[in-house]
Parts: sequence; structure tokens; C-alpha cells
Amino acid sequence: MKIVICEDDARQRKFLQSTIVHSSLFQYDDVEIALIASNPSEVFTYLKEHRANCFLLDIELQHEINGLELANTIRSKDPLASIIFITTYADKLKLTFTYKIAALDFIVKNEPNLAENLIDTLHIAYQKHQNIQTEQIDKTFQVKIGEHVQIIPFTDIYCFATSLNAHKIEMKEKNGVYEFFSNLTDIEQQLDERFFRCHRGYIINLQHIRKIDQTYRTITMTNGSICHYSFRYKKALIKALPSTSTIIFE
Amino acid sequence: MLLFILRDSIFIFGPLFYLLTIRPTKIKLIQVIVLVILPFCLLLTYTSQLIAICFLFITASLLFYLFTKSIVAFFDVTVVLLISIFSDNLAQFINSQLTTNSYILEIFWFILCQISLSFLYKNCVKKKLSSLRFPFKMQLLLIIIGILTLGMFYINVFFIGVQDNKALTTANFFIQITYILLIVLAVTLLITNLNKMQAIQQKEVAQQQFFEYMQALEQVNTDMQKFRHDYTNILMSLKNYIEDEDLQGLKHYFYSDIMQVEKQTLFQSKIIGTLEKLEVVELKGLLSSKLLLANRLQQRVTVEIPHPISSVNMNLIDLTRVLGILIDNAMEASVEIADSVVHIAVLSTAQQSVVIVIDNVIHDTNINISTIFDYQSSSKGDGRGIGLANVKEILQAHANVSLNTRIEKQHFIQELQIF
Repeated sequence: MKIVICEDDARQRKFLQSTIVHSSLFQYDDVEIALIASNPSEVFTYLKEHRANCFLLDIELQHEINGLELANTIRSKDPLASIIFITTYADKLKLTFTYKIAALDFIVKNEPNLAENLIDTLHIAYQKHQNIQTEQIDKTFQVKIGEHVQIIPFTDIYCFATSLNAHKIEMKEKNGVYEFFSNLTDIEQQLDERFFRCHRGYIINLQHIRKIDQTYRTITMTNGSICHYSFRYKKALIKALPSTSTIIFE
Repeated sequence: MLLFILRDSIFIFGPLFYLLTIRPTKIKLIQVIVLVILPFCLLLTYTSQLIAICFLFITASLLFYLFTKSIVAFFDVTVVLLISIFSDNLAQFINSQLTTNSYILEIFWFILCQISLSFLYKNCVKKKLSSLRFPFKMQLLLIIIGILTLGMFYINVFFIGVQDNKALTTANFFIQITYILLIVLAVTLLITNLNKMQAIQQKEVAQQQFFEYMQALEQVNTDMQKFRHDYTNILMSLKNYIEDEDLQGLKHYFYSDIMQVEKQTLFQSKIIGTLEKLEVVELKGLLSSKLLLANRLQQRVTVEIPHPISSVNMNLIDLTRVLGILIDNAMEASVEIADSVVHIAVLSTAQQSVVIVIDNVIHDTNINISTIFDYQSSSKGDGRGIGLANVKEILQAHANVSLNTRIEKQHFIQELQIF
């Protein structure tokens, strides 16, 4: 993972560099600091010929190009790069940065546990980088909100259901409920063998079934959600169930 | 006789399942047969036709009301019965015009009419009506009109007498057509009026929100005037401290007196400042009133509107209701947590949609998000969880709006995206 730092304060620059070099993260062979820049032009020059995976940017750069514009340029060149902002003011435009340029995180300069926060966030960036490298990203489902992409591992998803409103799909997962515009047939293509289309309006994760009710033809998921299955898929459903599971039949 | 009952049962209950989009499971079919059709047959054989039909209407309405838990069932039962009577008459009319007079052909015409009318009703009328919100009174009125029409039709059928007469069938048919047209006209007028009423309501809400925004502005203005009034006095005091070279006293006076008093003024003008780029008056009003409320509750709220928002593609009554509930929930949860901040952002995206994000901190991350939108579910005790269920109900009517709810690192985040 190539890291680029852009910070105009020399002391802060030094601090960031030493924190990263002395952290647990630096043991990995593929982690390196590719550039330490004091202004955005240096980053632009670097990006003309090179690429990087993780950018640490000061929002309040004393330069005609501010952190936001810099980040926008980086984002347009590389949609997958992790962008981490460093700021003096907590919460300043936090949501704007998340949803407009998909910033990975915000780190506040004056907090006592700055170093710790920085390393934690870099670990997340590293994990993301690894996932992209090893194509683990294939085992996730992605929902885009503005520019922010929410990445949800297949393991966490319970079910997809068509909403009462046509074209709107509702997805339930461990940490949230999402709605987006698509159709189940397209979604089915993006999923793997854990998922089963059990009804015209439902796709379920076979590993999260708690109970199957055969009189009402419903499936209760482990989170309590109730899905329907249709008669013609029943045989295939029973066959597809994981053999090790403890599903209650009623 | 048996053929007649069979035909009627299929062509009354078939369309009902279709119109109300109920899956005809075995259990439901058996319920329909045992509770409605069999008693109907008995009544038809042993008592008068009128009683039997009244019975059919009442039990069918109740049963389908239980299936759907929606008052629409009553209306649909009435409409289906109307459609079947009308189709029956139309079939007779066509048959008498064609002079072939075959019973099979009549049944064919009947089925054709019934199916096409049901289809038309579901795909044109119901689709259009579903986007409107009917007040309860209006629903009742429509059902009464439906039932009266039904009554008229039956009187028309039973009391006019024998139907074999060709002239009478024709007359009957035209009376019914006129009546139906009149009723359709009346209902259309009613609905146009309803539309107008809702537009007026929307304007009222906008006005109310605008009024709240004006109040906030006025508050800032008053504070500013007060500041200007005190200005000379403040300057004089500062001058005295400076002339005495009393730096400690100056510091104390500045931080504990001037800053404390002005903090409030500055805060309120900041509220107005953050909403500057929001050009939708209703939203501006809602957010400013929520920000003033947050100020009273001493709850920190930040609002980010980095780019101008000139319009939002959603009914603004619904949008302000939904946002009101979501922001209230976020503040309610945050007031209990010290040093917590509620973040709100209204953002325009590259795809021309508007994203509204509300982000607050929560302690209990073990909430089952899949169930918080259910009516009975609330972590705050009885009767207080209706908010989110309402949100879901409102949003269901909007095909271009999506809501994501998630918990991430002790943050409860809600994203409303309007396309």
C-alpha cells in the first residue's frame, strides 16, 4: 500500500511520518510511504506518473487548492483509493466529505489519541487495499449513496426483498436496512451460492435461516425478518439448505 | 341454478383476489367457500334472493377486510359486484342485439366484460387513487356511494321485473350506463377537489415553516440590535481597562462578560448562516426550527449544506414530516449522551439527486434494525415508536425516494436519497 501525505505544517508532517514508520502497520512488506508533500502541487506532479493507494490530506491547506479540491482530483483519477483527512476542527463538514468524495475517515489533530486513531484508520485502509488486491471485494455487496460506497460482506446479509413499490429493493443486513433501485434478477447475478431466490419477490441468505413454516410458506431469518417462498421453489430450497444448519421446520 | 352460482362465485371472488392482490391459498379459498358461498346457496334456495345477496355482500366485505386489514376491501367488494351486475346486463344487451340468443355466447360476453373491467379498474383507477391520501370521511363517503349504487342496481334488476323483454333490457342497460357515468363524474369532481385541498394544505405547511424561519431571523435581528445598543458601553469599559493597563481585568471582562453574552447571538446568526444555501423554504423553516429547539435543549447540532439546493423532487409535506421525525429521534437519543453531536447534511450528488444524512451517536448498538420500523417496536416504551413506522408508511408512496438506516461505530446513520 503506497501512502501519500500532504500537510503544510512541517512539525505535523514529521509527526505523521514517524507515527506511521514506528507503527505495527509498517511491518507489512507492502506498506510504504511514497510521498511526503507540503503542498498539493507536489501531489499532482507525483500523480502524473505514479499511483498511490492511501492519501493523508490536511483539509486546511494554506494553498490556493484546498484539501477538498485535492481530494476531488485524486478521486477522479482513482475511485478506489482511500482518502483520510486530517483536520484541526472536529466534525467540520464531516458528512460532506464522506458523501461527496467518499473519504475513508476523519482524524482530528488536537485529540490526545491522535496517533492511535491514525494507525487504526490506516489499518482499515490497509484492509481495504488487501481486499481489492485479493479480490475479496467480490464477496461483498455495494450500495452507493452519493459518492460514498457502503461495502457489505455477503455473510452479513439476511435477505433482499422487493418493496411494495416496484423497482425498489430492500436489503436487510446485520447493521442496517438499505433501499435501492434495481431488480432481483440483476442482484442474483452479483451474489454467490449462499443466496437463493425462493420467491418472485425474495432472495435469502441460506446461512441465516432460523425457521421454515410449511403451512404458510414463510421463512423466518435469524434477525426475525419473515420472507415468503413459493411452492415451485420448495424442492430446490430444501436441496440447497446447508447440511450443517439447525433449521426448524413447522 | 348450480351453474349460475358457480359462475357468479368464480367471477366475484376471482377478481377480488386479483384486485386486492391476495394470494389465493387453499385456506383462504376454503374460508371463502365455507363462510360465504355455501351459506349464500342455502339462503338463495330457502329465502329470498335479496337477503342472499345482502348476506353475500356483508360476509364477503368482512372476510376480505380481515384478509387485507384495509378499508379498501369494502370498496373493492362493492366495485366487483357492480362490475359483475353491469357485465351481466351488458352481456344480455349485446346478446339481445345480436339476436343469436345463445346462452354460451352470453356467458362469453359476460366473462369478457368482467375481466376487462376488473383489469381497467385495477390498472387505471386503483393505481391513480393509490397515490392520493384519502381522509377517513372521504373513504366513508366513497363506500356509501358505492353501496348506494349497488342498491340502485339491484333494485333496478329485481323490481323492474322479467328481463327477457328485449326493450326492457335495452332501457335497463342505458339507465345503468347513465347512472355509472354520473357517478364517475361525481367521484372525479370529488377527487379533483381533494387534490386541490391537499395543494392548499401543502401551502399552509410551507407558510408555517417559513413563519418559523422568519421568527428565527427576527430573533437574530433583535440580538444584533441589542448588541449595537450595548456597543458604546462595551467600548467605554474596554477603554477604561486599557487606559488602566489592567490586562487581567480586561481578560476577565472580555471572556466572562462579552463573550458569554455574544455567544448566544453568534450561535443564532450562525444557524441562519448555515441554512443560507438551502433555497427550499419548507426545509429551511424545518431545519431552523429544529436548530432553535436544539439550542434550547443545549444539544449540539451541525448542519452541512456545502452547495446550493434549489429544489427537492418530493412532496414537501411528506419530506418535512419524515425529516421532522428523523431529526427529533436523533436529538432525543443524543440529549441523554453528554458531549454528543447530531450531524445533519443536505447534499446534492453528481446524479442530480439530493441526499439528506442524519448521524447521531448511540450507546446501545444492539438494536435490531430490521424491526425498528414495525409499529409495535420502540426502545422508548409504548406509543413512542410510531415515528419510524410512520416514516416507512409515508416513504412507501414515493417511488423515487430511498432510506438507508445503519449503525456504524456507535453512530446511528440515516440516509434519505431523493432522485
